[in-house]
Amino acid sequence: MGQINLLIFVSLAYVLALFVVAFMAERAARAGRVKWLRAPLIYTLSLSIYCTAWTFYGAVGFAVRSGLEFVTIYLGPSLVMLGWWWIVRKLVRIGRSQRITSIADLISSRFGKSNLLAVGLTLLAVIGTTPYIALQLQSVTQSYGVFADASEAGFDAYDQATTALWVAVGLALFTILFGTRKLDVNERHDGVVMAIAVEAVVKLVALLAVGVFVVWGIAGGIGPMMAQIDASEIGTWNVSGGRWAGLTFLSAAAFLCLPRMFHVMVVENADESHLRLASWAFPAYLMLMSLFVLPIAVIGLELLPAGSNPDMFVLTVPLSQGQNELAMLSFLGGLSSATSMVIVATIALSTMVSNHIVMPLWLYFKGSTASMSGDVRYVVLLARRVSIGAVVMLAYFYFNLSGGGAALAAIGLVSFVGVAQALPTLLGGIFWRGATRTGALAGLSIGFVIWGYSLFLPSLGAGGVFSEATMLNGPLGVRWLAPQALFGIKGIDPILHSLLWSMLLNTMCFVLFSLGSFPRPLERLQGAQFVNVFQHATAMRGWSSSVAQSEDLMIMAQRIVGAREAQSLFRKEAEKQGISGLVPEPTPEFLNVLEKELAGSVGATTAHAMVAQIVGGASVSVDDLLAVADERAQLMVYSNKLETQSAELKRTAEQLRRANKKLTQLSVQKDGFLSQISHELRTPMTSIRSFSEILRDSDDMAAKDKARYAGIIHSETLRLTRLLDDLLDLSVLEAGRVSLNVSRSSLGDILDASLASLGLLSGDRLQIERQRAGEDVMLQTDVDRLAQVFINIISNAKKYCDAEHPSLKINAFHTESQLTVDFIDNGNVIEPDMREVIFEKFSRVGETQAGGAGLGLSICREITHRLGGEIFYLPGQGGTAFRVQLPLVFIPQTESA
Amino acid sequence: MSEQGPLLEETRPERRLFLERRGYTQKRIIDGARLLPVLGLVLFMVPLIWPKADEDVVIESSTSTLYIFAVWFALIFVGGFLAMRVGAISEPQEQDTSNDPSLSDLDLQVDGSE
Repeated sequence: MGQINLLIFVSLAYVLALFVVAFMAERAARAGRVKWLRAPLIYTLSLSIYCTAWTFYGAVGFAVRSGLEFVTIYLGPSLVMLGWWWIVRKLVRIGRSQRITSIADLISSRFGKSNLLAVGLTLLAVIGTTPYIALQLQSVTQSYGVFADASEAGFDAYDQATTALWVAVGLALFTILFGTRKLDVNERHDGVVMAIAVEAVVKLVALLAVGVFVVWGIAGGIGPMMAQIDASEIGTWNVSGGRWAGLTFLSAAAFLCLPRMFHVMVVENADESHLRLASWAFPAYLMLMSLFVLPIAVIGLELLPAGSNPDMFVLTVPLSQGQNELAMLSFLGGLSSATSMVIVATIALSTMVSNHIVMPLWLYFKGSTASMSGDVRYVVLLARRVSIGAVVMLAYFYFNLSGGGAALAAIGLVSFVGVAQALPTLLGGIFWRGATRTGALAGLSIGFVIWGYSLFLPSLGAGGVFSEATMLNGPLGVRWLAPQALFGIKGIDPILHSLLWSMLLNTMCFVLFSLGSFPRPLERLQGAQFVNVFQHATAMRGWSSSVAQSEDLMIMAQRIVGAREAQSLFRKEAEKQGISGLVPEPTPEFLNVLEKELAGSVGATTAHAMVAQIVGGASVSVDDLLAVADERAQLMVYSNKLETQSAELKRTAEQLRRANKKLTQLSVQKDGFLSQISHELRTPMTSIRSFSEILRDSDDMAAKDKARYAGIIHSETLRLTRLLDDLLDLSVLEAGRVSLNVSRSSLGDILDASLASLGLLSGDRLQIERQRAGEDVMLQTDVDRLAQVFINIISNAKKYCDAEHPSLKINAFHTESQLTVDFIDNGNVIEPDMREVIFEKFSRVGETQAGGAGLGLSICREITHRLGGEIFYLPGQGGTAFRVQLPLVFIPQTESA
Repeated sequence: MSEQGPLLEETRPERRLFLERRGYTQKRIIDGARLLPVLGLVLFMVPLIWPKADEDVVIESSTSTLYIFAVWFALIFVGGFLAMRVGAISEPQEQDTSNDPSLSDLDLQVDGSE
């Protein structure tokens, strides 16, 4: 009697302490002291709700039945957390950036904020979780029963149903009190998280205490304990490979998909960096939780009478040794496991139910008056409170109906397989942009149906839903459809059987239907945001800029997130837009922010629907989607343009630089030209002046001398005239103002005329060698100018050829359109570095004894250019050689230069 | 990945091909963090090829327990080391990890970029 009363007292005191912890945490949070409340350690501990009463008590029972196989339930989650960089980190990032409130919210929001998906997932979660909550009630009730049995046989206060009811009511109250105190925009419950962190410590300490007692108190140390384990009936490795791998996978999948795990891991996550600690500390927690399971199982098997419930060894082993305090601690550990699971699971479920079922219905019935009156917050909170009560009571009825016992104990893994059906959709949604709503619906449906048919319904007991005959031979005798032997293959472990077929077909349908369907615009938008969550710091817009009424939005927002919060949000947004006051323009950016803010309270789907109601019509059209793409495309075009422009600028600058260089060169040339020409003019002028002065001043000069001096003056004057003629000629030619006098003549005639004007036709020192055959060609060009070129070249040869017997070869040949004439003498070769400059003005080779001004070749070059040809030095001919190339028919150019 | 891929990709800031020492080290730490669960999975699946009780050779539970827990402990230890290193190195950027190219999801460009 005393024992059971003490137990009740301790339990109540413990629950009260939890209330106080939760209350203090809430108060601290409201006072803004959130730093230690939202520490990484608290986050890690809150993940421990994975370890429910089913694992606290049941792990030992599991170990008794299957040896080390129990550890798979912990290995899967350990691997998931150790691989945080792959999946959990991305989930948390998406959850935070999209204000996700539950796993149903995440998936529906990924697939275009589809409410159908959300409702389906919510139902799946409720069906999968309710038996699990019932299991917790059973655990608490059973453990209570253990104490009641131990204290006084036939103690009538022990009534399973009553105990379970009280526990259920208590849990529901606690959850309502701390889980739905307020409608948080971030859906964080500091009080609840703190309480479950404390409970995490309690259950770990309790299990470790029992373990330490068993190993060192009973077995007598690690060595003897190991020996005892090996000697026991579970002393050898006897685990089926299929179950080992299958359960590891299953536990990993469930860890990600269980609504309560998603809630603490993603929704309650305050800071992504908390994952760093949790990534290794949570596996360590799980390892510690499973460290003493095998020893407790072995000792229990040895000490307790055959037929004792192995699920209760954690309690009964200390009790059998008279360790009542230890047993009490162990009971509190089990209670902690059960309560923390139920609290978080009901919060997660109620959030889903209210956001995805109640709110859409309410919106639907309220219709267009949604923005008119009433406080939506009240509706949401009420919906959640009612859902919490309903879920807990549903679990209680399930517990009562099933009557407890072994049938319920098996529900843990059954429930795992059920929630794991969300895994393909979840992973596909965050890693594959091609995943579509159709695929998700198909995959989830088929998975859910197979799970229900092959595992959940049969688990309700033989003769329950399916008759024995149906189980054995399939419905209507179709063996291929026997629930636990699909395709006629019998003898597979039922859990594995269902897991394999449901996951396989689920994934296959998901992929195939995704491949075969085309997503709606909103789906594609969301898909891009989810999959590339690490690349898009800023969200793409989801709203077209239609005429939403800011004031209506304000009214609605106030009713969902509260007046003060809504006003501060609107003011902040208005400031961002540079508007003073409370009402920002309803830009797509603002609508996006608002929708996410609302999503934190009522879920993405509902928030989207509510904004849509006010903004009106579809939020995203294909045009909008394209516009988003267009904006990017325009940006690209613009940047390309910039690039082109800068390249153009570079080219222009280069051109300018070249022009500048040329101008500088020209200026230098001009200076050179001027000094050259003054020098050329001055030389004859000087002799003319001095000889004319001599003639003027000397009266008695011999006539011979006078004639000589006058001759010098005359020849110098001639030289000056020639120079000035040449200069004039050159300037006319260079300026392009020369008028060409085109006529027809044969090359031979022109050469004859040139030689004649030079007096070279016969009997000169310079031998001319001609090939008449090549000269027999008609030219249509300015004959006189061409003759001028030839005269220049030949006279140069005459002047400068320094051979003993100077000779000049004139070779002419022509193609259809072009004439080439080579002038090759047998004199000295012009040095290579001079070949470049001989065509420049005033350039002369060697000494100027021949008295040329150095303009001849310049003039030749200008004339040949004018006639459409060119003249250049021909190297390698054994003497000085020039080649003149001309078109046979001169085509006057109508150039303006 | 999808039809919008190239458009979005091109507007992304260019990724550098080679990183300075700190960035390089961080990438290798992240590589380690990615590989660890794979290693863990392989090691945890070793029992699949262990002989079962009804065969000639039996594996005692103490041995199997020791193996499982030793692997578990080693994984936690290495995982802790890696998590600390990721934190220590990326602390200044932790505020905005979005512009850290190495943090991006499964994308293979990152894996292949060094």
